[in-house]
Amino acid sequence: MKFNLFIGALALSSTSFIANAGLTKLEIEFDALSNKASTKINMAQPSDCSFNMLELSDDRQNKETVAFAFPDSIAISNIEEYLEKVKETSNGFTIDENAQYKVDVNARLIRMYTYPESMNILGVTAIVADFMVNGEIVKSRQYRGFYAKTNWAGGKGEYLTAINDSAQELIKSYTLDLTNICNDISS
Amino acid sequence: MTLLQKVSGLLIAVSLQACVSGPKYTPMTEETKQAVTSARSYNLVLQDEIKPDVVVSNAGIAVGGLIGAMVDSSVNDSRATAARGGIQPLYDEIADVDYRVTLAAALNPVLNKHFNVANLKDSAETVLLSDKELKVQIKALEQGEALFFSTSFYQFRSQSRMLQALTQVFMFMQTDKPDVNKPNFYSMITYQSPLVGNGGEDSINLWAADNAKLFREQLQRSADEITKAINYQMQTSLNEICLKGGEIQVPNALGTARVKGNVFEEDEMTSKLRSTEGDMYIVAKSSVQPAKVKTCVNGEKS
Repeated sequence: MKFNLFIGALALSSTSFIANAGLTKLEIEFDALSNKASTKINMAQPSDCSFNMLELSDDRQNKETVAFAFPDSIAISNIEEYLEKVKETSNGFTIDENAQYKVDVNARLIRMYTYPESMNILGVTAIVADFMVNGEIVKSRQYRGFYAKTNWAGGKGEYLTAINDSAQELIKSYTLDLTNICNDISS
Repeated sequence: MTLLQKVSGLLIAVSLQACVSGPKYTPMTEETKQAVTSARSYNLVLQDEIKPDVVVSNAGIAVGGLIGAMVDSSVNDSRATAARGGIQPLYDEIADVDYRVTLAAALNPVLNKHFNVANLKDSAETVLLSDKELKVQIKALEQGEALFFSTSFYQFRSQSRMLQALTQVFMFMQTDKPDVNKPNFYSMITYQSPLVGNGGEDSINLWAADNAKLFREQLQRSADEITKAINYQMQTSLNEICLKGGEIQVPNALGTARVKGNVFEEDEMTSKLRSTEGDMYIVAKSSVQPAKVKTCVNGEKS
């Protein structure tokens, strides 16, 4: 994973009282899932249903930060681009032109953060997915990805690694549940 | 170590009786209050939602070095993963819960009641404030202007049976030589909910039931009680009568601390205790055990 440090201490806004509060903006790059995980997901996909995630919007309550690493907070500078990669990767597993049932999915990111616990950094990514058939929402479900990694070097990039790993876990959580969703929809 | 590291470290250090030289309880004085003509606020909440209750392993300390750290990291990884799975039923119900908004709605009227606060926001801040930045802001205040800086945390404790919330509030007046460890006013307030369920999955299911009704109520109550306590401490001549000496248990990530102090107010359900350090605890009455406390002489000012 590569990170580009954009700004050391970014001013929040010209109108903010704490104009020099420490916010470090980093670029996050999406890593492809491992072959093992990809194979597992592919094998688990339902043959009767195709799931097309139309959008994955940023609906977080806190769009400003994803981590705090004393003395700074950390933000992601390219969240829309990153979510597009998560969406494309998910659809790569779940769209099946030959499936009988076509399901559209509108998803929204509701949480993306890390927190420290002992020597670990814990990453959390959560979405709510609305499953739609013929434009009607037939089911809504929350999915979460969670990943704990050891904070070896105390570097800011490690927080984004934890985020990225949790996003990969999220993709697994979502795609591995689609057989259940398909069964509900087709029954 | 920065001020914020010290105050967040207090959550853990209080159990170890470790030496963390953070600020001590500093009451509001009439002189200070009279000197404040206007104020600004920075209300910080770092967490986006409640975390699972994990008792952190530090057994690796006995092993020492890198191997010990690896042991702890591995154990804590497993515990965190297990706890995360257990809390999912609650997470399914609370996607809309925003403690930053809840706390700001409770705190803002209290600050405005006592001082003319210029920059109140509908939601708490998310960005850390370093000591350096804090000092810059204190220096930049105008004569008679004060900065209220508060930081708040909340978590499940006691195997998820208890919701525990904590706020530390500092007030700094303008000075050219700021010392962040010596605020003009400082108080730490902890709220503990009554115990819910038998722990673990049983408690989480009770917190989550009926669209997380109990969780929402207690989170709101924690914000209300903490801000009531801040309002109370904005008075300049507190006359706290010690009703009895008491001891409470304060769980944290590494275990449980025992805190002694003066119970100065109680009703059928709730007790308020001022610890010997000056911190305030709002707890279930049933959780207070009688204790001999030197500072408590029944019926006299504590």
